[in-house]
Amino acid sequence: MNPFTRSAAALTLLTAALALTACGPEEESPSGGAVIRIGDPGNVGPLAYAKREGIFEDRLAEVGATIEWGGSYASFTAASDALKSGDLNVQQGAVSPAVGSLASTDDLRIFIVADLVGDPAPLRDGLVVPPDSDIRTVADLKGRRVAVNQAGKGEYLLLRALEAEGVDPDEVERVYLNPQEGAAAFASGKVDAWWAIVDAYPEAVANGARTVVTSRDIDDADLNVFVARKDLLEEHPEAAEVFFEVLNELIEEGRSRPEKFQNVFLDQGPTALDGDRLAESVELTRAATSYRYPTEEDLARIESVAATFVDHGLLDGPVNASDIVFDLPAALD
Amino acid sequence: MTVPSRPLLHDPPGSADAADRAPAASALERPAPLRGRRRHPAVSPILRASVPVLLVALWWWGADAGLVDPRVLSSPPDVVDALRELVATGQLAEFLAASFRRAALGVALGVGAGLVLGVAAGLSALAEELVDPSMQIVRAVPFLALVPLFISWFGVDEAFKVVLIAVAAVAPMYAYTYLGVRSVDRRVVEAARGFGLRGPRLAVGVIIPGALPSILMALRICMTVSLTGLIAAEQIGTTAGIGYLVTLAQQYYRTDYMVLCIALYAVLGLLIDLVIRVLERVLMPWRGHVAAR
Repeated sequence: MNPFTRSAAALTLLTAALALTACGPEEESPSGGAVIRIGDPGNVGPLAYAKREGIFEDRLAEVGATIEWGGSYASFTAASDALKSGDLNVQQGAVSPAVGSLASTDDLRIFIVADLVGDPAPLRDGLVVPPDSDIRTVADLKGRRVAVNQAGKGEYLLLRALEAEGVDPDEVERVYLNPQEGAAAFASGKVDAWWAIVDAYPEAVANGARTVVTSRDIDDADLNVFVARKDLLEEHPEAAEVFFEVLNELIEEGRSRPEKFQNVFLDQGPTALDGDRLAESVELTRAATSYRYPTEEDLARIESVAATFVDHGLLDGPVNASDIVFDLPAALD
Repeated sequence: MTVPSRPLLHDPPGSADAADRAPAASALERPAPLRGRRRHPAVSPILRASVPVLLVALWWWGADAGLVDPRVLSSPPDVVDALRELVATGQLAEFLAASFRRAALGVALGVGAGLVLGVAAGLSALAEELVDPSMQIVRAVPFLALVPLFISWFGVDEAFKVVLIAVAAVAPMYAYTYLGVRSVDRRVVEAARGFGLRGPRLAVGVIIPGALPSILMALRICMTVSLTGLIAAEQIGTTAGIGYLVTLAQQYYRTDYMVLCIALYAVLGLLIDLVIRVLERVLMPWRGHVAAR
């Protein structure tokens, strides 16, 4: 290639990239309606099914809104940067991982909540130890290394369990690892115990780990939540309302026919479930709880979760739940 | 000083033992050109491949014999199965295309900027004074440290990924171009000036070709570093890419895919090497394949 052609090609690419940089997220669709930007739902669950079938697209169009499916995020914590930058404006999570982000910025609000799945649905978290460990109770954790995800569900549950047993959390060495890193550290014996959450817990149990305690043994106030950016909720409450309605319809459908929400896009590859994992996912879909507008009781539960973090210096100052919860029915009136 | 072990060609005059001379002279070696040992041309590739093949064989044997826990390291057949799955679902092609687009844009941007700045700094004292200190600072900052800042500036979408790779590529490109330009033969530059070449024509016609060995070396480094950039950038805000595949493998606790990622990166690294070798042959035909061993 002649050098002139080469520089010309480089210049073209440079211009293209600059043009790309200029395209930031926009709050409104070309038609002026809302744009719901949500992370990729993966291969399982009501949102994945809705993405494949275009259900949200159809229903949101009735109020002039659209939906954009963004990148994939392993957890609420992983998605919080994208939420803060506005690349996402709706994200699923639980109060425990979300409360830190909600307290540190005024841009985010919880708008709907749901109870965690209880018995007889499969467990989704637990304090696990190697099968030959001498740790039998929470009190045995004194002086040991316990892996938890920082300021997330794992750390929240560990603090609650230690509080319940009257153990000073400073006597337990908390090792901050996200669930994926925690799995590796636990498998190689680098930590004495691990509060495994979500998919990591059944995975650890399948690999022979012994469960000491789970969230169902302690006073767990946590809730599943959907968090949205405040500007979306204030400017387009009708879009959030449609999202909420469609979501609950899908969850209900999943309770009666959970199989159709499994392996939605791919039935092979890393995201595909089979065997025990598929069976467990079916049971979870069957047991899924519906979302609701937050009630007074829910506000108290949110404050209770926040208080656990505040008491141990992980959050500054008390968190007032009404500051981080959005009143969608009032905005619709 | 060492004493020559071989007999001297000319004995000192008056040497008594003249009869020793003839055998001593015949022990001298005839000067011969440097020449590699002759061996079959297939030997070298076989030797090169032997160590990697041996390592894979060892891994395979270890996995089969149950010495390696599959949770720690998957066996080669599992990894091949993972590859087959990824090809069957069409994700491999999709992921490679997505990553290639990001890497190509990022490297093109970084290489373009690095080249211009490097040539400028190499040619002009003023440009060197203006550009070099900043570029040395950029070079000193590990580009992965910029990830959080770039997310807040550019969001988590394509722009962030491309800019991150561009920033990773600009520093090596600048440094090698600058060095390459400084080491271009001054007499050739003077001669070209004598023929009236100035400015961009001088840079493009004489200086860049002279600095080409350094520039191609820089290009190789830029392409390699773009792989690192991809792994960092594709951890967030995407559903496609070979860096995303690492995240996916972790998220679903699939060691077979984790090993597959490593194999993919190794293959991509070799491909990059191949591309640069081809570029060297095409762009620098005057450089023979000289190798003195």
